[in-house]
Amino acid sequence: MKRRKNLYRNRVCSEDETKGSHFRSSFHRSLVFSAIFVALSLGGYLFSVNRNAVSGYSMRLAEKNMAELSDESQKLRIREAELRSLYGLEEASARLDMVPITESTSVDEPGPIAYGGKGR
Amino acid sequence: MRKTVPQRRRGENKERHGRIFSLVLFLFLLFSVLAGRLFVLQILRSDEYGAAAEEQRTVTKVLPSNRGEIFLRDAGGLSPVAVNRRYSLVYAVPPHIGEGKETARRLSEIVGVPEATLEEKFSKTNDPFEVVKRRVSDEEAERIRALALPGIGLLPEVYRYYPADELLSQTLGFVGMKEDESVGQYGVEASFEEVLRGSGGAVSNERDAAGRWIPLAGRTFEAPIHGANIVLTVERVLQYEVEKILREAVNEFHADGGTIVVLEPKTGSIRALASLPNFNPNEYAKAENVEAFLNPAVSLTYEPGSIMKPITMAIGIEEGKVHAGTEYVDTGVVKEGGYAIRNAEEKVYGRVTMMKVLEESINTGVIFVERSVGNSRFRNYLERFGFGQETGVRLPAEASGNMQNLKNTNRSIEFFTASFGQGITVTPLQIANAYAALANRGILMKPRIVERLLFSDGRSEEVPPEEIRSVVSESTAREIGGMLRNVVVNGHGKRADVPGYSVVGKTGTAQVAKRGEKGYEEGMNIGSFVGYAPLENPEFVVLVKIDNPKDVVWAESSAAPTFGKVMKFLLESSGIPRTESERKG
Repeated sequence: MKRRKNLYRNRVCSEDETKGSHFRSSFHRSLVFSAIFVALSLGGYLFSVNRNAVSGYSMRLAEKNMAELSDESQKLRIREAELRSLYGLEEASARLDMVPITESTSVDEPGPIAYGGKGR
Repeated sequence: MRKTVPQRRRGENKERHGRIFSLVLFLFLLFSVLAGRLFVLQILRSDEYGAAAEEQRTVTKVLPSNRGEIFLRDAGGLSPVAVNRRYSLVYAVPPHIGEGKETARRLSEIVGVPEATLEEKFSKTNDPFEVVKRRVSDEEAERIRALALPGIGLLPEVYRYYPADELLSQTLGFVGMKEDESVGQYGVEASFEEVLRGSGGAVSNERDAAGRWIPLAGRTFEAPIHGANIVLTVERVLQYEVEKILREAVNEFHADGGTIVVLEPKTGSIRALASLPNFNPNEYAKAENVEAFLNPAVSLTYEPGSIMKPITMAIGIEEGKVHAGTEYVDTGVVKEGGYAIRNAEEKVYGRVTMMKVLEESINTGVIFVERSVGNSRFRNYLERFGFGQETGVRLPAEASGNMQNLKNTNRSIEFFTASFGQGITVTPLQIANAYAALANRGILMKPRIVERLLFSDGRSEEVPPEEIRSVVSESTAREIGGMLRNVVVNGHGKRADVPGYSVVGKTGTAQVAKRGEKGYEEGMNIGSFVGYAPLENPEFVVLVKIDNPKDVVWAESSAAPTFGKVMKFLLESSGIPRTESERKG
């Protein structure tokens, strides 16, 4: 085997054989480059598709969040309207059962202290 | 004779040809039938089968539109009074329920439906869907969700909700079920149903045998057009205050009910519209009487009584027949057509001016004015003031009022009684709008309840004020205003006055016509006061009508002080500067 190999190595190639081997090696090279190119393209395509799919999921999640926030906002708006309802306030103040004011007196205190106690 | 070989062959050939011919004919007929059938199916009935196939392989989902909301004017913006609120529907899938009794017990504590009822629903194992309860609140839904009961689920539902409760209820109306559809009933909900409803959309897609949508297949999409939001001319706080004052008056005088109308004379905008009895639109099904849903301000008519007298006087002044200083001798009675018309309490005033006629509300005085004008012209003026026809306010069931008695101009008795507001019927809005014309330099405006529409695509459409016609001249309007001021200062309208402001107006105590027969009810009356302020530049026209007050006879004791409270609040809360120093005495 070794001999055959050595013989092969030491053998002087003919011109045709040289051309043939060049052709085979360049063919192999193109094949390799093509394979690399296809692999890279495939990889790029998969990456792009995956990224789009992920973006699609993110968008759907964002839309879902928006819808939930919009619902929440509507609920709060209604709650605000309920709290501002004057009939509601009237009922709430009636529930407080406070003593109604029949008469009020204003006290004028010119000094810095709210009520100096004079005259009491 | 034996056949030769060629003869035998010819015979065989003939037979063979015959069989082949028969076969070909048979095949031809067969294919003809098939071709004919194909022609029928694919050409003649292609539309029908195409549609059937389309329907079979297409699934369509309806996209409902959102109903528009209704807003009132409020300090700093708008206040919603009709909104769409999400509730939940609790349903059960009986075949999936494990422990029926236990599930019923736990669910009953939350939804309030009796356990026995729930157990009965859960026992229907052949039924895939049973409604447990509708309109469940968020808190209840959360509690049900937390229980995670097998076979129990929640679906979202949207209902109409009125967060301000009974505020402006008759004007708003409500959304109820009609023939399995939610539609607006009464009020703005009904009259603007098309605007509020919008129109639904749809999405169609091809589906596979399992009913799933096929991605990338033909899809058609039509977006829903949501309903427009409506902004009313009514102010929230003002409306509440007016309703509160009306409620206090009705309680104080033990009246059957009442109505208050507040108008802006320059634009015809309705700033408040209150009537009692009213109802809560969130609980419309609980209303004892459907009459509570009607809006008395626009739908119910009454004989206005003496508040018609300034209208008659304005007509006389406009025709140049009388002016404030024109004198007339009152004998206390006018006889016409076999009838005798007297003044209230059968008083006799003697020689009086037209100013005094309004101040003392003298029936015979306004008959004098009407006689001067003439029946036909008097009727024409009433029509020009808007009586006997709808105002066009765009609220449902608006009444025109009744002026049938004035058809025959030869029956003067009808015109005499009409001159002081009896024998004809009007709506509260009509009479308030007529006074608004006097306040607005004689120009009649169309009352408006909607200020603008806000469409879902961002457009905004203003509903502009609309001038109908000039009824009387500015000078007539000014003269009448002065006479009405005298009514408040010296006449029966003293309790309607607001210190510091020149308030003008007229009282009216009208009899109530019997229903279904002639004559008037004994012991019943309607007290009204209508006026405007400030005289120099009127900002508000107010009409107060108290139905059948007890313990008081005259409107100066019921409607007039109620008017005063309303006008005081209006003028002071609007920051309108005082127009006169407070009078003493």
